[in-house]
Amino acid sequence: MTAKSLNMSEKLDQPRNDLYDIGVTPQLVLLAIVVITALAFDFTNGFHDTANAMATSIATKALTPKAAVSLCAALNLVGAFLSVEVAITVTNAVIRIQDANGAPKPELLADGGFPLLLILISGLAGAIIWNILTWLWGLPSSSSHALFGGLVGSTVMSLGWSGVKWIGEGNHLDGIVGKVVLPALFSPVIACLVAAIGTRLVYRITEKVAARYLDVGFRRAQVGTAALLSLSHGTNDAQKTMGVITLALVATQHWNLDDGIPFWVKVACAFTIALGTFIGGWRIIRTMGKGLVEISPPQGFTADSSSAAVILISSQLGFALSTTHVATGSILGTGLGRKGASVRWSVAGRMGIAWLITLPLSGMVGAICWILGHWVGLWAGQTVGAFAVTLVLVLAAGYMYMHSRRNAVGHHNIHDDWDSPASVGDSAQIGVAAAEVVEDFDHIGRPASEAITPTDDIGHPAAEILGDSGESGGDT
Amino acid sequence: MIGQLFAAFDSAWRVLIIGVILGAGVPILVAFAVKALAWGAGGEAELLVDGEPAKAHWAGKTIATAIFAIVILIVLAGIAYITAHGLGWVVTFEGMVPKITHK
Repeated sequence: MTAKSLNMSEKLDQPRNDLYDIGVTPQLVLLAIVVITALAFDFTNGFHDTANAMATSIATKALTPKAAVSLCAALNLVGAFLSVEVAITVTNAVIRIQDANGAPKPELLADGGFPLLLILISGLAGAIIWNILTWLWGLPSSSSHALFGGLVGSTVMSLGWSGVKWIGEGNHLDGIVGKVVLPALFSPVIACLVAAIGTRLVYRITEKVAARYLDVGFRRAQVGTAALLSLSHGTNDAQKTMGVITLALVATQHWNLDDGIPFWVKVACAFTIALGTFIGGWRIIRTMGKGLVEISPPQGFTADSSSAAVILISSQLGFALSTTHVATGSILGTGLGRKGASVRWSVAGRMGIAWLITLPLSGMVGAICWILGHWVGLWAGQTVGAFAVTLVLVLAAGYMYMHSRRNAVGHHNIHDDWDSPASVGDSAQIGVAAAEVVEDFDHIGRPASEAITPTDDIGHPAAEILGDSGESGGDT
Repeated sequence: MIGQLFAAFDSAWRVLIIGVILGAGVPILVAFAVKALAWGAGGEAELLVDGEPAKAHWAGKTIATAIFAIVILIVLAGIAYITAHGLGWVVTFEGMVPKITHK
């Protein structure tokens, strides 16, 4: 033990107040912070991903916005309870804080497990901040990449670069390369191809059918695939939080590794992700349903069907992928597959950039949170350190939420025309928010000259704010 | 790195092939069902050929119903697959026949 950690143990051992006497130890407070932070992540995971299953159904009016989020939430809840065999080795894909069976590394269990808990809290904080920021921007980004990124950042700070599993061995897809980078490159392209082929053939077959018949038939069918995607999301994503919380319980010796997932953890995670889904990330739903491609019912159904097929086949083959990337790729594909349809490439470009920077940026936030928690921890005690991280998280989340209120997007204005400057939840205003947070974000993904449709709707007002209206030339 | 790339390509082409069969196949089925419905209804359901409204055909609705039934079965199979996976069962495919075993 180093002098520093000795010093911390002494602080831990001192009974400081009455709470201590009734069993509320600093360790228990720390554990509670981990659980609450993990559930907060679960919540953002829910609302961030509603769009993956429901954006197209809402856009094609196969379901009303409220019916869509209700169905999606219910199926996420069912899906979460369906996952009986949950692995607690979720972090093993990218970092080395557990052994192959899921047991935490012994060196992280000193000081009552504080080193491990701090990695988890900071990583989760990084993931949550990134999720809320991308929601503010109205950009779909992978929640699992955000979680992995945050954990990688805090692990690098705690264990050094060797604590990260960069690449798998031999042909076994693993590590950041095998589980994050390669799937992120391949899966959207595959989904895009599948959806483009499907869309092209569907329109060829139904060439002579009146539009009304086409729309009704495909709208009905779409409810089925939307349900499939929602259920699949519930079985996959709630598991991650369950795994993280159980790891924290094992690390603090409140739970035995071999006993699986505690039932209360399962219940808490299932209801939290369902609640998040029900709240609905309307900004992201709008971007995916309206911003990328104007989706007709046949396109919507083909996109959903392609996503569901790619997700299920990949899971069968053990190919880890992000639902977000697949769903976006499919929507893009339906735009490419339909003759005469156009894709807003500026929006797609922005998404692509968001995907590229998800892991590094959530990693940086995770790393900063770890440094904060570590140093405040050394100076004022572990619990205060963890509280400091939580405080930063709450302040950042609160600030971003307040910012979002200026141009709220909800079920009331979800169908507003994307290019219309008058609509309240206008995409342009989402662009303003983006421009204020990262000043030159609108310069990156705007190949306006290449785009098929006038695409500078998002960046245009943002550019004005930055005093850079010269090049935008928008017609909105 | 080469090993990882190879493994990713190996999965990717399988996902692509089966993905096209299922992911594009199901919408194509629905397209045929919708076409059959329109053919069955006649009149304004189909776009006019030479200015003449199309005739109604009694078989249209039956064909459409049959195709929709297949689509519903495929979706149900998907739900069953997700449920089985969640409950810890492993579904393997030998040829085309699914075989379900417990982990």
